[in-house]
Amino acid sequence: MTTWNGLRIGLLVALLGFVVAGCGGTEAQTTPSSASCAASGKTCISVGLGRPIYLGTLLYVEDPIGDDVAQSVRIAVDYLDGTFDGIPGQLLGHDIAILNEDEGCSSVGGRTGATRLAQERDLLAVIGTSCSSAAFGAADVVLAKQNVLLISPSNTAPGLTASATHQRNYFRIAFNDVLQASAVADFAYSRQGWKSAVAIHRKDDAYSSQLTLAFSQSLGVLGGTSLADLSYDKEPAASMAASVARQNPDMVFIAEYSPRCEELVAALRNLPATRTTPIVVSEACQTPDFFGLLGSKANGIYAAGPDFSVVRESAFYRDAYLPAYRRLTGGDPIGVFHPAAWDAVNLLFDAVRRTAVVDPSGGLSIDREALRRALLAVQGYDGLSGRITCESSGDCAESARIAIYRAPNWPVVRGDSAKPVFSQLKTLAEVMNGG
Amino acid sequence: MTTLTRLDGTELTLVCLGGTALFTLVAIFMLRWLISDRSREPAGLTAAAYMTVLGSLFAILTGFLINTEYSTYRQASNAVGVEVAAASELAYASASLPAADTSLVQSELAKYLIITTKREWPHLAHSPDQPSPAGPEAALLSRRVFSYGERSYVGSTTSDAMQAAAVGLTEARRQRIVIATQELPLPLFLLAVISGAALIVGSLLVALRSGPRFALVAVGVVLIVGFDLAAILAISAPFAGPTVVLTSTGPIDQFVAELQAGQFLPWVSAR
Repeated sequence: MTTWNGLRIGLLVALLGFVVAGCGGTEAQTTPSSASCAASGKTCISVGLGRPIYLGTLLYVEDPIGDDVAQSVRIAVDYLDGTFDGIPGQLLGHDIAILNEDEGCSSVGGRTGATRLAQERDLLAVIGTSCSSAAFGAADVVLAKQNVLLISPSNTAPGLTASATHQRNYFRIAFNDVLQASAVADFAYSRQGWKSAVAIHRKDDAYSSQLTLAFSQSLGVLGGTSLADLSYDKEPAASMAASVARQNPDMVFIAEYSPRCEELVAALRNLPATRTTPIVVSEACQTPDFFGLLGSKANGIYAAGPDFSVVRESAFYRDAYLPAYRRLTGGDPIGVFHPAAWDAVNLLFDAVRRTAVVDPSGGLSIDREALRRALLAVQGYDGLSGRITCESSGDCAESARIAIYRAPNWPVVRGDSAKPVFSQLKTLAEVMNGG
Repeated sequence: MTTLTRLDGTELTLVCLGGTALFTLVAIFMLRWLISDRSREPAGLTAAAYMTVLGSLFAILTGFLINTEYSTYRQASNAVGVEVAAASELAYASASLPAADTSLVQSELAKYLIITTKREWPHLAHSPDQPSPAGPEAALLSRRVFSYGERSYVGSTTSDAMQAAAVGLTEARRQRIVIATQELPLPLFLLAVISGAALIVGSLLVALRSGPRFALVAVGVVLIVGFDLAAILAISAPFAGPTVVLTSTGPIDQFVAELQAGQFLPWVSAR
């Protein structure tokens, strides 16, 4: 009997042993955790269930180009659900709340607008600025302190992505003006044979001054001579024209905004010495107002800018984006940076999709530092504005096809039928390496 | 039966081994009570003569059941594999869309797959005959994919490839749901239980006749019967119980992780 009892106990122990050894439990699930995001401090934003994701825009809304970009941002939010139905879509189950601030195309405006936007603790990122001067040493610095990404669709000033002045949270989809400057210099020197030039820029304006500087350098590399880089502030346009006349250049390059651009051109055309001097204006002057203010004097003026025929070739732009833009605004796009705005917003949304952690509650945790890394991983994005590769310098446009149009044959007047007199594809790598 | 097949590995093992152990203890007391010391010799001899038959019957029945249920399990594994392959094809095909659409489609694909493993999978384990929580997501993804066929900016090669992948995804999901609703054939399982019980009783009679030193034989038979029954129950529900470990969500989870990391986006580099 004792032996039987022992056997019973042995049987029980054996059973327990097998049970403990078990057949295995359920597989441990490795669910993503938002802990790492929360631990990262102020780079992490939390979006509760049912709460919107805050996206800032810092644009020069009084300017048609700024308005153009703002509409493109709205269209990109509309397309979050994959359809242009006029109803904003959702990103990972959350609405997008757009916080708009005006940057006034000035350093002060950029700084003020950025400060206001940065007050929203859970601000995802900012699309802007329109003007380089609003970003350069202004909005880019303010937002960098808050680890907020600033992605510009239209800033072109080289200094924004120069190693000495670049803010790590700053990216731009627009082309770097070294490309525009190089293309204009090529057009002037190699194509037209204009060996000397005078450049005019607006005083203390990042876009204007850096573009004319880059142009002067490019012309010099080719063998041409930059006779002067004139700074234009509050003096009368006629006195600027007189200064140009004294230099007797083969051409004049003006990097200014409307209406000062038109004032300078008018003054140059009024002066007998410069009445026939070739004038090339930068893309900021390419507005319909140019022709309204100058009338027939505008004829023959060259304008540089992105070759928009490349964008128009895109079937998505032609068949989907453009009709949606027209439905939303009742008209055609005015400027050339709306495709870059579309790309800026979609790149940001894509980065959110790749980095956001969805909490079990349905909320989101987004690490702004992870967003930045996600943008830096972008290589060869086939955007509406062109091929995009985001470098650590903040430049995302790999290249730009810069065209020179001769008035009145400008895209803002002739639309699709405007044919450039010169078009050149420049890559950032080739220009930076002295090409 | 459904309750048994939904238990996890430890619980199922405990129940099966505990059940056979309890049955054994009851059988021991019953045999000792029913069979006098004098009758143990002939009873043991008779039982020994039938042990081979009973053992064979039990082995055939459990072998058949294990084979049948393992085939079902493999079908389930294949369905998961086909589903991941179709999802991969959809992700690759979507890379030819405009970038904004590629990102959107892959995001929705990831969302659908996450709901599949986190919500549909447990749903299949517990109430496979009820509407699945992943149904709306599957429909949304399917509608999205087919909508590209109507868009002029999407090439026919791309939309055809995406549609074929979406059809593959739907078929694999449907196959998975059908497998999940299949149940263990109860009469065969009961026959296996009865033959197992008979085998245990027989082994106990042999052990009673031969003495305590031969009780280990009976212990071995009890364990084999318990584990066999546990194994049959375990593999009979591929989306529940311990074999969900084998029919793992791992391939889908891994694919989702790759998808979310942007490995199927042509513009994401690992630099």
